[in-house]
Amino acid sequence: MPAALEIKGLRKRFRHDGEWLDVLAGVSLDVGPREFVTLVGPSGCGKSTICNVVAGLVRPDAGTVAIDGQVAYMQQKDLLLPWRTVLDNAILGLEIQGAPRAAAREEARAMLRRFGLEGFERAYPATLSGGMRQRVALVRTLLCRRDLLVLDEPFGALDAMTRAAMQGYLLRLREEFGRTVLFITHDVEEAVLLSDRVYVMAARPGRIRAERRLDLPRPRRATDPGIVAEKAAILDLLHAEMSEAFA
Amino acid sequence: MSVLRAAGPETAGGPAPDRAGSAAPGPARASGGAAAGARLRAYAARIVPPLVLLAIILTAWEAAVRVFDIPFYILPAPSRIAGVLAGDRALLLGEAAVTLGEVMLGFAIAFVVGVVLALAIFSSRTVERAVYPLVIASQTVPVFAIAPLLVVWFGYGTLSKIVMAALIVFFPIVVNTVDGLRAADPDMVNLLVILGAGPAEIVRRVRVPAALPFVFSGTRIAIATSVIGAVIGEWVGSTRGLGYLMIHANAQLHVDLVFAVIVYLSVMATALFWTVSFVEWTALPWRRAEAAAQAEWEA
Amino acid sequence: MAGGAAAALAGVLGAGGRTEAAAPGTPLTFMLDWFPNPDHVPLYAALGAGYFTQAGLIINLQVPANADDPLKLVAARKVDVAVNYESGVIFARAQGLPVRSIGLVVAQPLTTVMFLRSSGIRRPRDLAGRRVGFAVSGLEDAMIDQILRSDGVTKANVTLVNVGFDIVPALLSRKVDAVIGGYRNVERIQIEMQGQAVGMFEPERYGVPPFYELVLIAGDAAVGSRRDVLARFVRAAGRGLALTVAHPEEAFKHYIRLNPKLDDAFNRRSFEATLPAYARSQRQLRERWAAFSGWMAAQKVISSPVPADQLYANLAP
Repeated sequence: MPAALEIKGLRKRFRHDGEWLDVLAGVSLDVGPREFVTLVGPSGCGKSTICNVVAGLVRPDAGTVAIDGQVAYMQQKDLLLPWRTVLDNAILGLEIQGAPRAAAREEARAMLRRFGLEGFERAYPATLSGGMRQRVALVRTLLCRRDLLVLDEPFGALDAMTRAAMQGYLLRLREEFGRTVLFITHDVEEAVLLSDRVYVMAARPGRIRAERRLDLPRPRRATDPGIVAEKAAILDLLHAEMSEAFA
Repeated sequence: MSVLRAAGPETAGGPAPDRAGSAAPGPARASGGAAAGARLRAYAARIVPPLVLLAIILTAWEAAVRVFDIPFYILPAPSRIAGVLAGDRALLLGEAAVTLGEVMLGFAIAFVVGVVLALAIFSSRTVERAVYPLVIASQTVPVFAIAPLLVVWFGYGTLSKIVMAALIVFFPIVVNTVDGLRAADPDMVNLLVILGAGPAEIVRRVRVPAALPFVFSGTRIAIATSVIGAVIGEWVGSTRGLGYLMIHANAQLHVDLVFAVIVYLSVMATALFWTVSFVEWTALPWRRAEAAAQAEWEA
Repeated sequence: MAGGAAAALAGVLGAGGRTEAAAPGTPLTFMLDWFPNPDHVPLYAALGAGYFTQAGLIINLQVPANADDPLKLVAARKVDVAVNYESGVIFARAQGLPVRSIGLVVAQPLTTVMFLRSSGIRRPRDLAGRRVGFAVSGLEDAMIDQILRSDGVTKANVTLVNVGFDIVPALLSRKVDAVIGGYRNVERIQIEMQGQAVGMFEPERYGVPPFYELVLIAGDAAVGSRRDVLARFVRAAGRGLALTVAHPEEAFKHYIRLNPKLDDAFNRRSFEATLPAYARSQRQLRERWAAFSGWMAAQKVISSPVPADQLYANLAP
């Protein structure tokens, strides 16, 4: 079932080296059902903190977070359990939910096939490449059947070509499974290729600077003029941010 | 889409074929004869160097004894010791069985107690603060000093030997298990929290498997040194075992027999050490995969 | 003689000892069998009274680190003379170590099977079904077996318990009913000082051939090439023994002066208990060595008897 996410006035301070750091200074954003929304921003703008709050790992100092449904969280680290096979890693979420193992394995097998991992079910993560491991993590995340997918720079550690492939997978699953996605990246091109809407963030303290709606047709290609223009616009916003920060 | 397929199976079709000197003496690709040959070569690469070194040492020892005319009652030559090993075979094996029994029982007890204590130390700050320093202090008391005390408390029978072995095993087990429990990636723990796992489930699914390599590490050390513990325990209060045989032979000036006992003790400790490694190898298949992947990386 | 060069060298180096003025001496390393104890009073008396110096010897006294050091080091010619036991010499010789006894310190057996009177034990067969403690000496089995057999039972009728070297605590705490290796002049005194009465089975009364408890040993090579020096040593030791027997107080004073920490009631009482056992003569009897060696072989502690001529040498009878 599609879900929505609504964040209002999120504030969070962390103690660092004896001082209080304002990581988030009043962030408000929303994600509509079946929407693909991306947060773009320089490092230190609190993107990961927002994810942690949404995932329930961190409590905000102020503000509200309303989620219609449950959250599935995927990070840059694949966090595959090294002692489980690919197949058993994929069903981890389902197992914890109490699903019968045989059925869960069947479902996982099917999904692994769709992600090009057929034949690796019994392999251990150590023998897989980074891209393959992230794919397994993606399968694990999807199988949880949760409504809101929060993906925190999931492709950041991958090389450009693998990243391109993963973006393809992501779009495909969005079309097929109709999930709601909150996506984090510092890669503007990635944001523009994937999203319905983009929030541009500023850092120190973290806050939303701008919101852009991307009414561009799919499938999108990096060379499309609309894409290029949008990318330029967002980059300008970010550069302005950086010059301000360094001024 | 072809672009997606290209990102697919790269080199990770399974562990690479072994080369000599690789970290993993394990299985190679599933292709019959080539695999068997590679396995044999890898096995030989591990066995041959230490055997060669041992042969060199033994030859040098034998030569030194003969050339310098070292009396046998100071240092017997390997050839003499070999004679005793063959001639007193039955006696040595019988006493070795006794000592081995003490070691295994002592180890089993210490392992269980150690793991339980490690879990307690890990779960409770209070227990950690109270108990951990005592565990460390227990190791500083020399084994010799403890042996007579144990005999007073546990009597002259087998029990004091078992307790002796257990005391030596106990420390590395506790320390390594605690380290292992702490070694779990906190992000993995968070992942399970998000997936809805409870604290017991997290221990079971993440902390324990992550701790296992550490536990095996501690076990390896512990079991080899526990042989010494059993032997020292046997010096006071026993009439069986390799430790007793050693002092009895010494009292009658049977220096060759003393050395033969030492050979048995070394072999026993080494065998136990490798047994633990083998058990780890069988029980933790993912470590095998890791080692193979690493070997491939380094190749 | 051969000792002359060595003596001159020793004189030049001033080898440690109590030499006054010009008299050079032949240095000898002399190792005790164990820590200094009242068994050694005559030796300390000889040292203290200067008998070794008068014999032209400079004694380097050593205490062993391990119980088997004296035999091994004498055999390996690292130590010239040592104190040891008749059984020790026979064990060593049976294994091929070239050592032999050249003199006597304690000429009667001191070891016994010891028990508390309160245990009700009166004769060896009373030990049947009981626990007997021992410290590993190589001879404990043979000794208890002989004693038991003389009264109609065997080793199989008792439980032997290795109690390590602390045999008195084992007996006093009643962990065992009797101990093998309790000395008439040591453990008996210790137990009596704890207020308990002691019973003993003296091995020589129950079929164990009488043996010399404490002897002086030297290596075959030295006995061959330095016979004179060793004879002087034995004679000097003999003078110490004579002094001890004739004037015990004086001898004991020498012992205390050289071992101040041993000036206590136990050492005194132990010394008094040892007096009857000190050697009155340096003449070793062939029959004794032959009989004991034969008995050890009969008890299967050694594979065959060692010929008595290999076991001793009367250097200063």
